[in-house]
This record gives sequence, structure tokens and C-alpha cells, in this order.
Amino acid sequence: MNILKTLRKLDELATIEAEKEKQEQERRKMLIMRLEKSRYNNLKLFNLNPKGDSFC
Amino acid sequence: MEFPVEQVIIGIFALFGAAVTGAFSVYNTKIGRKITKVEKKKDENQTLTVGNEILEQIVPALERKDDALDKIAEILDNILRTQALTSQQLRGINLILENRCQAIEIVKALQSLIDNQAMHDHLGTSNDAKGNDAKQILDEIVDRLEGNDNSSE
Repeated sequence: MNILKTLRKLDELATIEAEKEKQEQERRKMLIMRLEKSRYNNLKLFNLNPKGDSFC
Repeated sequence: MEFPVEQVIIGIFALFGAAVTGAFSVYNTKIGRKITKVEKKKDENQTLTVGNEILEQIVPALERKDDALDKIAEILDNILRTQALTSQQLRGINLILENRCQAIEIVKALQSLIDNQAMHDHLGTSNDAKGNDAKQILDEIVDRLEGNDNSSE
């Protein structure tokens, strides 16, 4: 019984972590979008080439 | 051949015990793997969370910087536009001033010429009415221009 309980608990933990990973990935995506937008704005403002690799 | 009942029972229990131990061992392995998997996922999530927290601090700062740059660009644009207007106005004013100054110089030169002519006429033959009229008109123009210049200062 204990083993089954442990397995069930582990499954719950795995589900929670998967959910958390999904949320964090979504959050990362939004942040990267904002970062890219900011980068693009700066490139536009300073008239730089958006394809350039030298811009940090 | 006879099988003693006790030995058979012991054998059955031994088999049952081995089976249970085997099953437990399999479950333990399964649980161990699952625990490792969950821990790994938890670590990955932790890394993601830390990265996101850092980004969460950087991105708003960058956005504030963007706003500041936009405002600076706007201010510079306004300054440049104002300067263009001012220089244009200044050029216009300068042109007007130059024209006016030239006009005064021309009028003064004419006045001088007429004065000389009047003097010449006075000394020579007789008073020239036309020359006096022209001198009076020029005097009035010079007075008015000088008066305007004084009023504009």
C-alpha cells in the first residue's frame, strides 16, 4: 500500500513539475518577445541593421 | 517418494517470499527512476525560474531605457525642428535687416549727392526747387527709417 501511495504521490509531483515547466516556458516566451521588441526598437531608433550580429 | 508436508509448506512460503521480494525490488527500481526523473525536472524548472526571474528584472529596465531613449529622441527632434524654424526666421530677419541697411545707405548716399548738388547750385546759379523737394523727401525717409530702427530695438 505504501508503495502504491508513493507511486501516486510521485505521479502527482511529476504532473505538478510538468505544469510548472509549461508555465515557465510560457513566461520565458513572453519575456523573450519583450526583449526582442526592445532590441528591435533600439535597432530602429539608432538606424542599425536588425540582421547584424555585432549588436548586443 | 513421499514429500513431507512441512517442507512443502516451507517451500511455498519461500517461493512466495522470493516473489514478493522480487516485486518489491522491481517497484523500488521503478520508484527510484521516477524520483530521479522528477528531481531532474525540478532542477530544470528551477533553472528556468531563475532565468525568468533575471529576465523579469532586465526586461522592464530595458523597456524603461527604451522609453527614455524615445523621449530623448522626441526632445532632440523638437529641438532640431525649433532650431530650423529659428534659423529660418533669423535668415528672414537678417535679410530684412540687410535690405533695410542697404536702403538707408542708398538713401543716405542719395541725400549726400543731393546736398552736394544743392550746394553746387546755391554757389553757382540759383536755388533748384526740385532738388529741395527731393532732399526733403529723402530727409523724411531717413528720419522714418532711423525712427523705425530705434523703435525696433
